[in-house]
Parts: sequence; structure tokens; C-alpha cells
Amino acid sequence: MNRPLSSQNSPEIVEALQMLQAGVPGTSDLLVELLREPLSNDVTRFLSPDHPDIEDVIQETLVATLNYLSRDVEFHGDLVRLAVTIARNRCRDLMRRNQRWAQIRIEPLADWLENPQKTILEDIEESERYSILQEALEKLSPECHKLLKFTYLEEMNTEDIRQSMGLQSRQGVYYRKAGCLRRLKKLFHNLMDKRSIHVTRGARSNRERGADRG
Amino acid sequence: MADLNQYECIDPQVGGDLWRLDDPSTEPATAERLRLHCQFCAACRLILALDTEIKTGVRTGRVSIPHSTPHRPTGFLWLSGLGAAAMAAGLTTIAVLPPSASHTMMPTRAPIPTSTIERPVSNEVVPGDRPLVTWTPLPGARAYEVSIRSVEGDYSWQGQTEETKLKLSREAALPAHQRYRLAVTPIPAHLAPEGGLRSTFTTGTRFQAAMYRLTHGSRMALATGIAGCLALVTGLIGLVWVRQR
Repeated sequence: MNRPLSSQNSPEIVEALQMLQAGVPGTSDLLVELLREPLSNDVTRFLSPDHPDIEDVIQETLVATLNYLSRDVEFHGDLVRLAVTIARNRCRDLMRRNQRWAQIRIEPLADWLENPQKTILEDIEESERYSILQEALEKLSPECHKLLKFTYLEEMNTEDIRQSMGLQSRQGVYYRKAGCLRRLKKLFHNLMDKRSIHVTRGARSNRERGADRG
Repeated sequence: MADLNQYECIDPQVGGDLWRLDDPSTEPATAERLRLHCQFCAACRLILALDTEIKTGVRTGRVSIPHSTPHRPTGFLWLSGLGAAAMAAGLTTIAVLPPSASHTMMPTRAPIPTSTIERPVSNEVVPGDRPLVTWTPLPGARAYEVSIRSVEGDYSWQGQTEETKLKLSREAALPAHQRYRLAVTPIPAHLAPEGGLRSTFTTGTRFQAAMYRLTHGSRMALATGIAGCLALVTGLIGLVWVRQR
């Protein structure tokens, strides 16, 4: 994974990254300055200009980006893309959360934003989580069903799976499995969002009915 | 344009190697870097979480992995098969049934004779140099006199037969790529219908004869053949597309 520094980075960012890797003090402030504008533009566009959580998302993204850079000494990618993608994923979490829990704040947003290790799975009740997972699994291709069955149900070793699937190498088994999980992730997302909309609409219509009665 | 719902990988060049986490032969440094990536990348973290969820779900019986047979593109197979069958049926019909006569639309004072010569039909292109001549029987005729003359050359042949078909002998083989007039006269001659039994034809290659049959064959058979050909091509393209996908 020894790669050249992405050509997408501007000369200022390339210089700042080199300074960071060299341990020059004050580089973090410079990177924050360079990243703030593109982040602000993207988050504002993604949420809406008057969204109350824009600044929190930007701050949390800047902290996460710097934290990532300080730990990944081999970073060679596109820094703006990295930061913007972290921010967008947080925006997605925020939007999904607002849609799902529009009425109830389970924990303060700041606390929730500070805990980026969580996955969206933790926001869903176990029974619903497995129900969505089952539905997503049903939509996978027969080849993925076969591979996942060999892996999880029959717990076959990689060499046996390779032979049964007619693959050239063991790496092929891992690569295919990752592909199936990637597809599953996409299906899971879609199904979860559909259910969120359903729940929200249902809740809204119940509230409206209640208001009519009241 | 970013997908509003789906998480994106924050560094796809690293995230693309996520499968290496499963591979025991992956170098520890690479594995460590991938784990670090997952701490910050919601998309890759979700993939790992789903992996764990399936494992747990299968063990506890909360989820089951569906049993399905590999998808066969049945629709495209049927389309190709039916297309091939229709094309074969159309071509066979064109090959077996006699072609229709090609009439010039020149105005004429005399009535168009009702020809009872079955083959070659008027203006047909026949393959080879010894075409089979057939005609419908005339009641009362003892024999028939057949004469073939080239329109522009000097070929001329005349013979008699008691049957209603005649195959030219080798000696009487027709020169290629010429146009001929064919006349069949019953014996006694007074039995001949008004205008006589007459036809014209041209000798040509097998390809020219096949083309004549294609253009003058049964319209229905031709339409069936073309539709079949289109269905076959569509079906085959569909099969290739499904395979690639």
C-alpha cells in the first residue's frame, strides 16, 4: 500500500501534510484553516444553510480528520475528499437520526457526535435490525448466498470454499465475500431508510389523527 | 452528486483493501492501517458490523441465509430459442415452397394466361444447368412436348415425355446466366389452354437462386424468419449482458 501523494491535493495541502509528517508545530491550525472552507460549503449544501448543527458537524469532522492524520502516517489520499466524506457521513447520520427520532432526543447531539465509533446498527432495535438484515440477505445474489452459507452456516475453511466456488485463489474468497458485504450494506441502507420513512409517516399520521381528535 | 442515503468510504484506495482483514497472510502493518481506517470510515465500519451481525444472527438463529439456486436468464433463453425456431421455420418454408412468380406490370392487350407450369415459375432464377420442369396434368393429354429456347442466345432444345415433369439430360444442359423461354404443349395440341403453357426463367448461381427465393418466397414465411432472427439476436445480446453483469 505504498502510494504516491494524491495529485488531487493542492500545493498548500501537500506542503501542510509534509509539515505534519515532519512534526512541525502549528501545522494542525494550518490544516484546519485549509479545510474549513470546503467543509463549510459542503456541509451547508448537504444539510441546509439554516441547519442548527452545521458548526458542530464541521468541528467534529476537523477533529476526526486531524486525529486520523496523526495516526495514519502513511496517508497519501485526497485530504479534502477525506474530510468532506467524513462530514457527509456524519450529515447522513444526523439526517437519518432526525428523521427517525424527530420527537425524542435520546442523547444530546454533541455527545452523540463525539462518539463516531458507533454504527447505525446501534440506533436500531435488535428485532428490527435482524428483520432488515434478513430482508437484505434475501436480495443478495445466489452466488453471495452460497458464499455466505459456506462461511457462516457451514463454517467451511477458506480452501474448501475456494474449491466449492471454483475460485483461483484464497484471496478470491475474501475478495468475493467483501463484495457481497458491500452489496449487503447498500441494501441494508436502502431498506433501513424505507422503514424510517414508513415509521415517520406512520407516526406523523398518528399525531395528525390525535390532533384532529384533540 | 453524493448519494444522500449511502455512506461513502473516506479513502477508497484503503477501503478497497478491506477484504485483506480476513486474509491471515496480510501483513500486520497493513491490517493495523485498515483497522484504523475503519475507526474513521462509517462505510467500512458498517460492513464489518454487518459481518459480525450475520455471524451472530446465524449462530443464534435470528437470521438465516436464503437457499437459492443460481439465477438462470430463462427469459432470454426462451427468446433465443423461439427466435432460432422461428427463423429456421421461416427459412425452411421459403426453401420448400415454390417462390411466387415475378410479373412485370406492363400493360397488355391480351389476357394474362393462367399458367399451369409449376416450376420454374415465371421469371424464376434456377440454380445449376439442368432445372427440373414440372406442370399440372391436362385431362386427355397422351404426352407433352417441351421446348426450351434461350431469349438472346442460340440454345434450343425440344423433347417429349408422358409424365408431367422433365429433367434435362446432361447433353442438353443449359448455358449459365441466360434467360430462357419454356413452352409445354400437350398432345393432342388442341387440349392446350388459351395462351398455352409458357414460362420464362434464368439460370444462375445457388446464391442468386436463394436470393430470388428470399425475395419472392411466402411473405408470411419471410416475416416469420425476420422476426425470428431479431428475437434470436435480442436473446443472445441479453444472455451476454446477463453474463457480464
